[in-house]
Amino acid sequence: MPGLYRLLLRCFPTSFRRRFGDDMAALFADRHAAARRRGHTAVALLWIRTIADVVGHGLSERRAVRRTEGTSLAGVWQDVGFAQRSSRWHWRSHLPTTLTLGRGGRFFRTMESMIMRPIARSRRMYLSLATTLLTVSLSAFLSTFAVVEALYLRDLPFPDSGRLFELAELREGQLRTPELDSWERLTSGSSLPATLAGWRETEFEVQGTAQNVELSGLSVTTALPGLLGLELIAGRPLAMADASPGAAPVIVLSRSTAASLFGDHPAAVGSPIRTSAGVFTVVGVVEQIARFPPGHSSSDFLTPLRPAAAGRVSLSPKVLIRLASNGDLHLLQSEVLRRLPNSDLALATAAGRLRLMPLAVPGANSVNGSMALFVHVSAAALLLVALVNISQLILLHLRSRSTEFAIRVALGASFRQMTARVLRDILLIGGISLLLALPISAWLIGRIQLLLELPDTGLRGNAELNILALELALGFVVAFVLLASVVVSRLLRTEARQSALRLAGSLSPIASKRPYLAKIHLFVQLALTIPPLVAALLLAKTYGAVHGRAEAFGGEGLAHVQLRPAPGFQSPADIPVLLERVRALPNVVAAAIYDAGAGTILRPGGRRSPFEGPGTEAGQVVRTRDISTGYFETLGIAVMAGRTLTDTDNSAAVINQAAADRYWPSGDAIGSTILLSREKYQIVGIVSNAHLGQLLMPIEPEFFMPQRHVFAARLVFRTSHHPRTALGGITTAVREVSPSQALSGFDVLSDALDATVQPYKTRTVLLASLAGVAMFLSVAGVLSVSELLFRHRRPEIGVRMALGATRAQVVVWLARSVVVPAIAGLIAGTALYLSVAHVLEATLFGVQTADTAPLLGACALIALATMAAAASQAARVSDVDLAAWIRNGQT
Amino acid sequence: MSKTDALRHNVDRLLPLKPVAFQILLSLADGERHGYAITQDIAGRTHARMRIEPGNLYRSLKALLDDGIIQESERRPAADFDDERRRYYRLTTLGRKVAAAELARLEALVADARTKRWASSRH
Repeated sequence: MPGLYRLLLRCFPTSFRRRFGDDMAALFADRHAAARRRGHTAVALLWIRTIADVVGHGLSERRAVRRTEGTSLAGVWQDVGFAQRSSRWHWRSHLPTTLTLGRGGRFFRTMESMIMRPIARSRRMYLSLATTLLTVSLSAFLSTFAVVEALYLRDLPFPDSGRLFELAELREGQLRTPELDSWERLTSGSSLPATLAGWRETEFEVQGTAQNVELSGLSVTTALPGLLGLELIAGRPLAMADASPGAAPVIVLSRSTAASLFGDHPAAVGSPIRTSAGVFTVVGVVEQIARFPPGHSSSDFLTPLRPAAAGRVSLSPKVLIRLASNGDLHLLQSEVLRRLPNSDLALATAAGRLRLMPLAVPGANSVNGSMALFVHVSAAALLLVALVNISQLILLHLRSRSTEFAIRVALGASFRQMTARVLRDILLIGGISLLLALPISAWLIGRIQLLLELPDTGLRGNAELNILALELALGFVVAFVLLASVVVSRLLRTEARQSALRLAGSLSPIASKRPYLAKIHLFVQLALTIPPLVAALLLAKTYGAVHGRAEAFGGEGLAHVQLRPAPGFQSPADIPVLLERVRALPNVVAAAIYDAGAGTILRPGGRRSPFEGPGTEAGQVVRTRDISTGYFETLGIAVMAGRTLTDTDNSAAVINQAAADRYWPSGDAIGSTILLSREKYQIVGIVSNAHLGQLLMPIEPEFFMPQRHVFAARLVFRTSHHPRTALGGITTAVREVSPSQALSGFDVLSDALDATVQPYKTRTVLLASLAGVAMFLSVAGVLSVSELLFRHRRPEIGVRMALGATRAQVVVWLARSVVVPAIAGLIAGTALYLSVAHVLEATLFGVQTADTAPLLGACALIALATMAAAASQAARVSDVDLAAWIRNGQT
Repeated sequence: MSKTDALRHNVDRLLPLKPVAFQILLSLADGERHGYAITQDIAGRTHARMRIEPGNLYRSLKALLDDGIIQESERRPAADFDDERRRYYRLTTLGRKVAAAELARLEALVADARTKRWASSRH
């Protein structure tokens, strides 16, 4: 230890060292011995005071020598080793530091690396790193906020909003409004399986008021208010006649708009409004037009949509669709092809570019608000961690500029001037980050929307969300600037109060606290990283399980349509006739009929019937399905034993493996007689288990009986290509048997599976993004904390290596100092996760919140990243070349 | 200029003393001491309110030596009590006068302060 003090004495001029060096070393040895008797804390405090004393007074003494001896600044710099003429070192050098002593009393490079390199090099790096950290975390926060709000917390105020869609066409990677050739031909008639309404967004300025008021609203077809469930509270709704060429311009206002313009909404009806688009007469007032069009918080008015004369609709309106209860896109597309065969819309349909963009995300409302809160809190915690990291960077940078501040104070700079210099950097970081975060988050939301086919949301169009998210982001940035300002002013005020000669002494009380704060920072950061990372791993595992089950179902080319009783299809005897026609089609591989009430993977359902069999209790009910021949072949369900049903079977039944295991554990199910709904059946076959209800529900015992009626029958078929391509042929084949037979409820298995998997994919993407940001911030934080912790120990590093420690040993010794706070952080993070894990239970499948594999995986990943970052910093700090120092010896 | 006047001029030139320098002179007023003893004496006398680090101490000692206020002592304690690493310091004649003059200056300052209303109202 006294030897280390001797090293520190290099701060003083050579003459001073020769004169008082021994005495000072002896004095320090006495004080060190006394401190050792009091404990480690006293020793640490002694070292900190000593370093500050030596650095401060050493530099002051050198300055005094310069004044008295007339030595030039260059000479002083040369004496301490800062000279640009040094062949071993240049202030712009990026090489690792070395301990170098040479003739002329060059200062050892440890001090140079602590002071000159940060001043010379780090301002650009530290500004870039701080801005990047804040931009990334702000962008993640804003985009997460907007998407989660739209997905999980904001129900649409429209009736049956799950069946409302916006028609869009995918062109060149973007969703656009499709071109409509003839609105009337498309929408007329009753066989269209949907109700269509068109709208265009309109704006104008109301004139003649005290202040011109800008209103934004919609030009709509007459069906739209009904689709949105808009409540008329005064006057009348828009009529078809209002859209006729030459009709008087009329307008329907929202309640709030009518009140603001006329004071009271009933007074508005019949009143004229002078606008920049002409004079309108108010014919009605509706309650509110909230959250329409998509991405907007509200609209102020409705005017009639006037199509161009004779056919083509110029500037095609956007199309709102409410699908019929048993309607779907494919049937709609069939009607489009039939009604407008050569239209642009038909071309888009045939090319598969049409999309139905839901106004509400299917299944989103089934996820509880706790999930949203979990994501919000995680995102906010990440932003907080980023701000703490940046504050750390600022402190590091300020510390490295302490000599510069001392010189400026010595030259007469005021505290205000020095504060302004530093605050400029802080405001630069905050301002640039906010400016960059807004477009980046808008881009992120757009990408997420396209990837997950979500409705328009968030920053791109929702004014309400825009304001709220911006307010939150601004609040964070302002809090960051204020916090940084307080820290900086305290730091600078402390330095400014002392004289420049005591700068290092005033810095040391602050520095003495920082190693502990740095370790606490590391602990908190790792603790906050664990929950989103574990949640992301769990959700990824869930998504994998769900996707795997969907893939394993093997539903390529499978679809069904609903049949109703009609002439030609009215008795069970008609079923084989119909199936023969359908199976004869070129693309159809297999087909069958089943009872619609039985349900399949495509439409959950199932009939439960009383069951009496061996070993059953009274009142037992089981799931039953009425099927035709070919059912198992069509669905790809293997026959495990016995046979399937034939056309002549009336009292035969087939069971699945689960039923055989449950009720015939001895394996003698075949030939058994059972009662289902008090009717006698004989078991003739056993089939493998299949998820015929919902994909993610457990397998139940099932009993299959012959189809005995045609009410609510469904035709299920498997094709060699996409089922949509066979729909036309199937429609024709069905109508050959029953000319007036209507088809409805066309569902494709692949679409149903996608809809099942979609919510899991959405959640996984969200949490994985958050977890990625959390890991990035963790690594950045560990790097900055390690830099802070290790830099203090550079003199000690030099001594250890001089005494024979290898670089690897030094790296291990340094890295060990972050092990304890890292382990504590992981334990606390695990406890934090387990306390909030119940929030995720409803969203998981095939995995539990307490599963050890994701938890251990997350901890291992973070531990690995932490130690790698700490080791890399330790390796950089410990790059000391002692050869020259030892060779030249102390002077 | 007479010898007395020269001495007075030298004393005036050196005032006011820095607090650390004055404390060192007070420590040496009782006899010769080395550096560690000086710091111990100051800490004891000020009830640990003033802790002087080695760098600060020896810079002050250097300044006092250069001004002729103190000098290194040639005498050494008994061998059993001596530490040959240490150097002992003592006051010079100029040093005694400077210490006395500084004490008088501080006494006058305190007396002047006591005439103020805020000082009397504290009692």
